[in-house]
Amino acid sequence: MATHDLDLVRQAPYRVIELQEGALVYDSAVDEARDQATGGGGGP
Amino acid sequence: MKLIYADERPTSGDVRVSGYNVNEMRPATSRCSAANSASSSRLRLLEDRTAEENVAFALEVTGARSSTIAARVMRVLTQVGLAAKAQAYPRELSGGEQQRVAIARALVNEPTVLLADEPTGNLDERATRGVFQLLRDINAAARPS
Repeated sequence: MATHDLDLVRQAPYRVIELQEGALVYDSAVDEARDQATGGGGGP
Repeated sequence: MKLIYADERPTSGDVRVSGYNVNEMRPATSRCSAANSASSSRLRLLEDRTAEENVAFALEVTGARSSTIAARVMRVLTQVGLAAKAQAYPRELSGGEQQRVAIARALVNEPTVLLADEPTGNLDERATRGVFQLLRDINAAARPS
């Protein structure tokens, strides 16, 4: 699904990617992998 | 989106969907083609056809056996919660209901991937929640157990 509705994006329990001008600028899978590697949930 | 359903070609590189190289496919054979624009904010429902006929049209153009069409159409209209409005014309349906017809039309050919381009773009909050939940339900139902 492609959307500009950020509320929907926040509700989506799926992989989220963000494109700007066709270029990938965010990928939630990268964050999840980093969190798993560091053993944390992203917080200090 | 157009790259994924093979309506446009990349200027360089490959586009792969479910292991298929989209560059080597015609749009009509794309595993995503059934969802092409069907659940976008530009619904493109046929105004002179009922909900049932709109969904059936997607089967007719892909050469489905006529003896199977009615049952397949009713199955997907039931899935999207619109079986009771099968005989309604688009003008008689709300925006959310029209979107559900478009989703049913996309589903009826059982695509590998369902593309939804701004499916809630012109809906109010309540209809948006309903369509989003429907897409989540479809996704959950399609996942292998």
